[in-house]
Amino acid sequence: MKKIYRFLDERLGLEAFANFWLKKLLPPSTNWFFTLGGAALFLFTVQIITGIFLALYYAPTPNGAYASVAYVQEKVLFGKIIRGIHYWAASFLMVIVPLHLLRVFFWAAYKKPRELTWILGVFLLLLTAAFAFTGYLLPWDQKGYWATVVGTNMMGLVPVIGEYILKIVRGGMELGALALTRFYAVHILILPALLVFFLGLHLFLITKHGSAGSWNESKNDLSQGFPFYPKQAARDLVIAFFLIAALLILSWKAGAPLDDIADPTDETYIPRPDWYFLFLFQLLKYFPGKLEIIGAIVLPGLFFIVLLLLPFIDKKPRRAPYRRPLAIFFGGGTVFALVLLTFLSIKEDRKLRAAQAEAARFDPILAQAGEKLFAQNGCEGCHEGDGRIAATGPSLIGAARRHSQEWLILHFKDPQSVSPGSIMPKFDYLREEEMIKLIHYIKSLKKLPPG
Amino acid sequence: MEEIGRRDFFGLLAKGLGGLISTLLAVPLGGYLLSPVLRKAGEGGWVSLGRADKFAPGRPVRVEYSYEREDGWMKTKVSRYAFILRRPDGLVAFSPVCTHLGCSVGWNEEQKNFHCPCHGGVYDPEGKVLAGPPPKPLTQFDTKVEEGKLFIRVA
Ligand code: HEM
Ligand code: FES
Repeated sequence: MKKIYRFLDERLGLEAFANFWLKKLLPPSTNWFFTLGGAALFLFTVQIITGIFLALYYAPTPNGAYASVAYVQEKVLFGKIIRGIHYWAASFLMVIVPLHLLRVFFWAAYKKPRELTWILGVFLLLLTAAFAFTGYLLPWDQKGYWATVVGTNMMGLVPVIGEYILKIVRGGMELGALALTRFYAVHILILPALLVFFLGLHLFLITKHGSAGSWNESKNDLSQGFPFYPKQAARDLVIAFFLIAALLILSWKAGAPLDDIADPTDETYIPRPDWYFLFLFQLLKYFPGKLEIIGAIVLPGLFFIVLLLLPFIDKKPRRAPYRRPLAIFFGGGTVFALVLLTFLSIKEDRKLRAAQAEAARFDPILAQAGEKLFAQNGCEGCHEGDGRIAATGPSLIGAARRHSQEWLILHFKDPQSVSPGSIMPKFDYLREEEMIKLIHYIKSLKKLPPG
Repeated sequence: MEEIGRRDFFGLLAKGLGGLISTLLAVPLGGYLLSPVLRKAGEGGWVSLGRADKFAPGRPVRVEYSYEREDGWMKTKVSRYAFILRRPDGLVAFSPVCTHLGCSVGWNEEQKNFHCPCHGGVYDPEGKVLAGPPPKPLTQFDTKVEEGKLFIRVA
């Protein structure tokens, strides 16, 4: 063993490598908060490994994408787990990376000579978000499709060149096959390459300058310090252990969601981004008409410009939080606003979802009874039932989601009362239970597969 | 003119060639990337929505239609829907695509207006914005009636 090590050391310079990366002295004040960067690093490693495994099955075409993801989810041994880990680790990253940023911000570790480390960090934050955004479309299900419609349209709001950006991102005007391969290539080739580059520099600079340690410089005497390995490395691995345990439990118990396949004709679907972009989604509601660009472009843009320039705005060497009241006030205010927006978005959606869940309640036995009633009462004469087309009345597919049960019952009793001008006859002789059976039958109507 | 030293010469040559090679690659790569912008949009085609006289006045009627569309390298049959409103001066066809950020609006029979499920956009039966962030009324399709059938022009 010793011999092999010496052989390699002479040729590769292992000793110097270990001295630089592992034996580097940390200030005695280094604590658990300093594991956040390592936690992000660990999660990215997990993403790269699980991502490569997912790519073994994934087919980047509109029809192939959904089917191949469903196949991984349902048929592949541990497919649900691998996909679940990749999904949840993305969510974790969207928490851990901002927390790491906040740690660095609170400790004022972005000041000279670490300005570039910070700026690279801001790019890493953008990359993390870009990974999350491009990955969301890949299953080609309803949620990914609609979140991407909205997200790419936001890019289209950029003045003058917006339409060009939109076309370049989507590969055309519509979100289709060309957008999917673009998103895929960006997600698995371009972003990882950029990540490796920015992260490599980030880590190199961190080690080169050493940890900034406590804001109280008297606690940073390196002669009292300790090497990264083993103490801090062990802390990092404790966190990594808890993270992977949480990822396994979540992917086993909850898994990753997969909605119905993307369908632009289903207007009952409520498009939402994943939870970590809800703040942005909510922000858009407050800027009507021509002001929409403020929520979509101006505010997020300003936010990132300020982040990038922070080391040059807040230049004074003092680091303690209580000596930087302005910075802490703005930082805290931003965090508060982001949390509040996310909370408001969830709250406003709760009502919408409750109504939808009510509408979606479905009982197959009632539906079967309803099918008989549908035939006996001559509904088929005007509306299409399963597969049959009768053109007098409108299609009933989705009708029970578009209208509340109360509305539908009023409509059976007297169609003109809720739908003036309707030529549908009154069905007021039906009992209310029978109407509910019919409603369940209508819920069971599904669009026939194309062809 | 001063004589250029060997080193300067090779330095210049290396930089010059580096620049040239990059340009030679950048032109086709740039064009490749920008091609969606340079590609001209097609004329679009007319799609039939069925008999024009089935649309009674009163409220917008939701109609589904499907047509063959080129989607990059593939041709697919896509399904879409439109809202048809009979006005005294004829039929108008609204696209359900919200003019804010593109979610699909639905007709709300209780309130007699169009609702967007995303950021709370509301449009009246004529497609005008009543509330929420949409900057423009609902887009109208070009329409024509031929042999009693209603056609709309799709992109
Ligand atoms: C992709 C996500 C990121 C990874 C994997 C990562 C990784 C790391 C690691 C391992 C450390 C050393 C341990 C620690 O201080 O926690 C570190 C330090 C640092 N990071 Fe990051 N980072 C990421 C994103 C960011 C972001 C978003 C920022 C800020 C905008 C940032 C700014 C810094 C700075 C300034 C340091 C030096 C801190 C000091 O010396 O005390 N990083 N990063
Ligand atoms: S997309 Fe319709 S309100 Fe935003």
